[in-house]
Amino acid sequence: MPLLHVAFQEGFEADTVAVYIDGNEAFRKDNVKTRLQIGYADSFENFLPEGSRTVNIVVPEKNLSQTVQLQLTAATYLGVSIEQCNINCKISDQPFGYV
Amino acid sequence: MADEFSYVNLPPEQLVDLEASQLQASAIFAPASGLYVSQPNLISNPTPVPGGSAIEVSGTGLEEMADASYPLPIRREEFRLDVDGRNPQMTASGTISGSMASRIHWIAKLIASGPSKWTGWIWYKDGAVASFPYTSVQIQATRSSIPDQRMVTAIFSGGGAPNRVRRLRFKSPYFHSVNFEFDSAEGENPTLSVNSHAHPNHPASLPSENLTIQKVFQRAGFYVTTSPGGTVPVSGAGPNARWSDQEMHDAMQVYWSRFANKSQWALWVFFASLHEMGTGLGGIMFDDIGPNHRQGTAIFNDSFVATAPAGDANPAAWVQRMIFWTACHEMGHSFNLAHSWQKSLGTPWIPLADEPEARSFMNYPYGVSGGQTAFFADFQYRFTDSELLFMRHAPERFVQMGNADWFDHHGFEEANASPEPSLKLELRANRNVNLFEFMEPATLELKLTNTSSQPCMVGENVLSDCDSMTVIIKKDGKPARQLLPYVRHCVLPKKRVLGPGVSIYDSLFISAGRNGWDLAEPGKYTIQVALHQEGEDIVSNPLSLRVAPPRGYEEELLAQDFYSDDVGRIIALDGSYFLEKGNDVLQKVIERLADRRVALHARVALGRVLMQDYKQLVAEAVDGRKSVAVRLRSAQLDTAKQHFSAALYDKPEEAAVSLGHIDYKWYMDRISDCVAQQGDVEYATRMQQQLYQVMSGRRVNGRGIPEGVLQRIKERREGYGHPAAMSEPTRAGAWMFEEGVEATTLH
Ligand SMILES: [Zn+2]
Repeated sequence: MPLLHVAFQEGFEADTVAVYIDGNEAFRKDNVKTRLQIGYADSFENFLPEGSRTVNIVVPEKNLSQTVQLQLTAATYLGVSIEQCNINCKISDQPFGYV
Repeated sequence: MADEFSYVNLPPEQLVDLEASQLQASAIFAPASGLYVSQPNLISNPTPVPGGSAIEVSGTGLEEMADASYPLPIRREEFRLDVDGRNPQMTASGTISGSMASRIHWIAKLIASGPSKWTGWIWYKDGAVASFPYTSVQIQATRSSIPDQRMVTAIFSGGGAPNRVRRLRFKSPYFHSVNFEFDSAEGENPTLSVNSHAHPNHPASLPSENLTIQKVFQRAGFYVTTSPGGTVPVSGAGPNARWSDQEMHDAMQVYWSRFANKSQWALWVFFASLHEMGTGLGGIMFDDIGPNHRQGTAIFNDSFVATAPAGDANPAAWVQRMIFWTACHEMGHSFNLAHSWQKSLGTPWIPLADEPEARSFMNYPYGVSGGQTAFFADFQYRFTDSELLFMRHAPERFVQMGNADWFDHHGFEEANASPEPSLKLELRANRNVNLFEFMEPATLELKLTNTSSQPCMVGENVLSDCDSMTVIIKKDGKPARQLLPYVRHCVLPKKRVLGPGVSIYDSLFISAGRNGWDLAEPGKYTIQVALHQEGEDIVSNPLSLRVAPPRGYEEELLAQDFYSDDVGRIIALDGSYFLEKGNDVLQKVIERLADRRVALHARVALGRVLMQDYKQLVAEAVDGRKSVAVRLRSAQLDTAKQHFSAALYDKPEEAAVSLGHIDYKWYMDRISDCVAQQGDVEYATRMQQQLYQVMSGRRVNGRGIPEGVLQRIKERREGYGHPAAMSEPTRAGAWMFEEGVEATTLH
């Protein structure tokens, strides 16, 4: 089962964040806040069955939601940022590094 | 300044790194850049008087007292000239220190005006700015191969004050001093240097050298001293041997030889194995803890920065360079530098543009297009110009470690900013797209809201009193400028209560001020306003807007006359009888650019003057002798009406957008009142009827005009039938536009 790592990066301002994977809540946390000196707020990871996975990220207080369709075959790193009132995602096969 | 760092006291290793030109024996080539200081002056009154002369006290023994906490009214002046040497910013800045309450900081952009001569406009002021009205500075440097003989003479002028002349003596080729201490956790080594050519991927123009961290910061303008490093027991990291921010903060307090709970130009740099976050964290400026931020920073030798990309040509050199880069990056955060892509976030000291492709210590190498290979192929081991400007010239409290809080308070007057402000300031343009036509004067709207649950006191003219407001205008790619508004009012500092949820509004003309036209050239601008209120600073959102390019040759040609001080004053002050040259230009604008928005503003300014009788002092020759007479020039109401009809009545939507809602209503009210008083009630009623229609239909980003405002337009219109009910309109109507909680949902 491949790893899915989801990192909350830029633009979080003490927000409540929820993530649903294939409709099931996989993560929910209040007060998710970007530490600007490293551009990182929080993260979680799960091992998931291979195949098509639907990841839905919701920031209710900002009325933002974003859905990403992933073909999970190997370890996948999903970086989530709020930029100009949008949730933007980037996908990598390498872990993220922060400084 | 914590450390003495006169040129004569520089240790040999600092001299070695000076630019070759800085050590030239020839006086002609001797550098001018560096820190200059005044002899301390005793002033007769702790409150400085603009242009007032100071009494020299050199040689009296009072000089030493200048370094104390200024218990006496002694003024000391520092002057930073940044015109040659490495990465010059063509900038001068200065700090005039008296008591904390009277400290002034200014920054000027310079252009060379002769050999060792520069002229600059002062675009930024901070502190007790009312006592420093100057808008430009002329600088003459006396170069010498003997540092003690170097001097600058600075002449400050403008702002309606007599010139202020200062002679300052050279102190150091560096702008500030800083001390670093590099400690390591047990078993870890600090990486303090790198060979610039050790890795084959580097810019062809990069000199081959052994570069130290100290040298990087010397080149940024700092006189760097280093305290002896030491070892920190790994037990400090707890049983998991990984460091949390709090554990590092604790270690800093014990093992840093200079630790103190105060702001000082000193920094602790800690090399360890791993942070508790794991290998994904290469380093962190961990110190956003406690009252004094940015004193400590850490680098993790076993994190991802120690893994070279697969197939790299020289993995060992790659890793050393990456750790060196990380150390400088984290140390940059301690100087309050943000990441290159975050520059516009928070409350930057001046509105800043993001620089996502910058080859800077503050950008992520793997975040640029082309990744780390592209980054290091162009990387010159330096900070960007905007970062150097900040480190060298921003007010000390923004940059110095332990002073301003990290990032969140990375801006105006943060020493006074409240952590939970009870007032919110919004800056906006009354248009859906913030695009202004070329030559269109720009008027923005300020909205101040009491967001607390308690009533609060604010100055009655808080939104129009220029002395209690700082307005910064930054054009993309250019340094920011501070707007110095033409004086609009002279008012008594009255207070009034602002209830919970209540907002007040005013207009703000930002195109021109006492230091010229700040918003003229086509391009993108960012504007930000700070209100200084009751010892607290309320900072607005940064507002982005764009000025469109000229439409044709006619506009370009007229622009040359239009962007003058005369026209700036006429537009800002709603017309002038006396600035005839400016009025001629506006008349040409009306004739030749009739369909452009600038013509609308020209008509309003000319119309306003013709609306009323004017008394004018004129010099006359009577019987061969000169005398002064008072001439009365009568109002020309018909011509005024023609101007207003064309500007405000024929294209009302256009007028509401271009003048802004507040000024559009104000002009309409003034004119309809005036014509009603002349007996033309029908014309006045029609104007108010149209005002109501336009305002009730306005929607900007989904928001409409508050119901209370519309109601008052109706009342004014109905009042014209009953002259006794007419009231004198107030400018911009800060209080007229007051709205309660229920109304703010509309606006
Ligand atoms: Zn960083």
